[in-house]
Order: sequence, then structure tokens, then C-alpha cells
Amino acid sequence: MWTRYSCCSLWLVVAMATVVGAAEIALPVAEPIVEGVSSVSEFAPGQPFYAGVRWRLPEGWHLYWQNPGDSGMAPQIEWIVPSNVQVGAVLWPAPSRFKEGEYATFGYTGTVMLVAPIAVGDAWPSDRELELKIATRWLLCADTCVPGSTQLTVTLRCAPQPSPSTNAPAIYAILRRLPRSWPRIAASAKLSSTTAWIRVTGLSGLRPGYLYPREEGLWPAGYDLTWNGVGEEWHTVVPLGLRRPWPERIQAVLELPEQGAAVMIDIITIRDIFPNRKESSP
Amino acid sequence: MKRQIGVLTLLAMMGAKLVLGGAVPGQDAPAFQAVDIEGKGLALSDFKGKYVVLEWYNPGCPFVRKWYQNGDMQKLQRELTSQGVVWITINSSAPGKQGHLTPPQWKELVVKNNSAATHYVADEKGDIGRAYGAQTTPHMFVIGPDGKLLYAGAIDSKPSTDPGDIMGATNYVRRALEEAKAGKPVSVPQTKPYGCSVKY
Repeated sequence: MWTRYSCCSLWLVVAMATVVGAAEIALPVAEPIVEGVSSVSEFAPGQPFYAGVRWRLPEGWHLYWQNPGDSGMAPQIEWIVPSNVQVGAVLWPAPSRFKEGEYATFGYTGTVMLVAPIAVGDAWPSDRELELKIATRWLLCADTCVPGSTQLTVTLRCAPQPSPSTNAPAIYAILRRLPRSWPRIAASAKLSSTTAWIRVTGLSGLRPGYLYPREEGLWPAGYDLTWNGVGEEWHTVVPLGLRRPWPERIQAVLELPEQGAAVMIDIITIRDIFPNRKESSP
Repeated sequence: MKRQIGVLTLLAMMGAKLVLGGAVPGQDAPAFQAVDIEGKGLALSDFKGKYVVLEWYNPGCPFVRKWYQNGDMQKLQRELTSQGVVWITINSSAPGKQGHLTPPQWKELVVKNNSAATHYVADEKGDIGRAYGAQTTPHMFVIGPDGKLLYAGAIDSKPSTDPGDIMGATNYVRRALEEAKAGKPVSVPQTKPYGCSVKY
């Protein structure tokens, strides 16, 4: 009995199709080293750990964030695990922004790890190995793009106490830097017909940097937003993207350049920025 | 009140910067003139009275290959041009940038791919691409006989590089044309395009 988990919609793993059209234009070589990783080499039932995928990207190439921006495609991860194993959501590190003319994309360079928390039920037999099957597909882009896909298996022994793996320090380093919510920060978006006025308070004197919406289509990734304000209150205006209707609440990663860090903020939508405009308009 | 004035001032200040380029469904499609790879001059206004499809193209992009490698784009080109639709394939890769093709290279590719567009236009300066706000390859635009833009966005509803996804997806270009020809409003006039970035 296996359970499938997907970070996006369910999909079938397909072998990369052979390119038959335009055969004389060769695809560039962009072969990342892709491996399955786990924070433990031996797991203990009832004690959660982390597992996922590591990409070592060729220089000059990037992989995408969950919102790829104006072009590109987010990597997809599907888990196939035994039924008494639970897989949480993929934990996405804060992305970088790659500007290309008027447009931009969001993603990562170098070594990228996307992991998720894994919980194995208490009743796991001590002599049974755990097999985590991970099917992933991705798009790498530099000045052109190359898709890739693979299936990985992470096999772990069961033990009374978990043992950290050689990848544990790198995984925990990533987890420590994940964008988290700060309770003091409050954010809202007031909508007009074409723009959203975003207000953020509670940054404790820090300057806000780029704001990455987790969902696509809220504002154009290529738009260079400018923050106004000082100290505890900052605001910016973004043009509305294609997403309709604008959600009641959106999550976004806010860079804090002075800290070299990023926070996750919840932006609450306040509608009717000019509630009397209709009545007063001719 | 004070806060609202602040917001108004801010919006007014930023207004100029917030106007994004690009063609907007319901409005006149941006006019353009070009010379196709056969050396033939053309203008959008030449096709008044006809439906026009614009396809942004880059031969090295895997999202474009998804549509060409099994002949799906070529089939769609044949299906629509046989109904009188004018199909213009546009490459906005600048010289020296990935995907740029000289007219002879592109002519050879048209034969190899068995493409069936009406015209192929090398938009080397990117003027047509910027006027339309073409941001990916493919990025599709459908223009009505009155010159108004009917549709802008993705070719279909499944953003992927897998040709196997084409069959089960909704083709927004075909649907926009079918609805417009039946005298109905286009139900989905704009979507987020998917693909590689345009190499302006």
C-alpha cells in the first residue's frame, strides 16, 4: 500500500521525449547532479525528519521557486511512500530575482535543496527498511531552458534512535534560513482597479527589500517595486497582475537586505479603497 | 481622511510607472509593419476583416519544442489557416541572443518542421514583441476582424514541456476563435503565458 503526495497536481513521470523537430538545433548541456537527501541515515518511528531532493546546478543556470515569475516553471516533486508515512509540504527557501529586461523570474542558483518533513508511524516494524520514492521534474534556464526529470529512492534503516546523515548539517542550515513569520509584522493590501497599495508595519527599523508573492499572477515579477516610508511603516504600490479575483489573503516572502534574511508575511486584503468613488462619479 | 489623501498622492505619483506595456484584450491590437523571411512586406492593417493569430517563437525553447516536435503546432496552424485565419509566427530574439535566426536558417527550419504559418517575422529589434508585451515563447495573441485584441496569453491550460499534456489541455487560441466566430464574447480573454523568456 503506497501513498502519493505531490507538491503540485498529480502527474505521471514520463521519460524525456526524443526531439525530432528542429533536430539541427541542439539542446545545450545542462545536467544538474540530482540526488535524494535525508537528514537521517537511520530513522526512529514517531520522530519526524526531513527528506527531499538536492540539485547541484551548472554555473550560470537557475532552477525556479514555487512562483517562477514571468516565465519558467516551478520544480515538481511527487512522493510515493508507504501508507503509514506522512509527508508534509515542501519547504521552499527564499528565492532570488533574475531580471531580464522588463521581465523577471524567481529561483535559485548553485546547490538547491527542497525538503519536506517526514513522519513515520509508531507501529513501524523495527526490522523493516523505509523506502521513500521521489519523482521530480524541473526546468533549468540560463539564456535558454532545459527540462529534466528523474526518480530517486531514499532507503533508510529503522533504529530505536535516529542517526543524523552526512547531509543533516546542510539540511538544517537551510531550515534555519527558511523565511518565517514574525509575529510583530502586519501587512495589508488595498486594491484599486489597477493597483494594490501594500503596507507593512513592524519591521523593527529594518528596510524592506523585494516582495515575492507565493502565488503567480498577483503582480508582474518584472515590476521593480519601490518602498516608501521609514521606521515602522512602509508602503509600496504594485500593478495588478492577471489573477482575478485578488485573494483575501496572500503570503509573500519579504527580503530584508540589511539582515541578509527574509521573512514570510501574510498580506490581508482590504477592499474598496475608494468606497464612495462610484457614487460621486458622474 | 489624511491617510486616504496619502494613498491618492502616492498612487498619482506612481501612476506613470504603473502603466505596463502590452496589448490588452478588448482594445485595438498594436499596429505593426514588418518584412517576413521571404522579403515580403506586411502590416497588421493588411489583414483587416480577417482573424489573425500571433505566435511568439524560439526554436531552442523546450516549451516551443513541446508543440513542434510531434507536429501539434503545425496541425493547429493548418487547421486555422484553412479556415481563413492569418497566422504570423514572430521571433523576437535579438541578433547574438539565444534563438535568433537569420532568414535562410529560419526558411530551412520551416521546411524541416513542416510549419504552416502564413508569415514568419524576425522582430530583431523587439519592437513588435514589446508593443504586445510578449514575455514567453510561446505567447499567443488572437486579433479579431475589427483589429481588436480578442485573446492574449498561454497557448493552452497545461503549463509544461511535456507533449503528452497537449491532448488533455484546453487550447485557448482555438477556443477564442470558436467563440468569436460564433458571435460570443471570448470567455477567457487573457491568461498568464507560460514558457521561456523572450530574448530581447
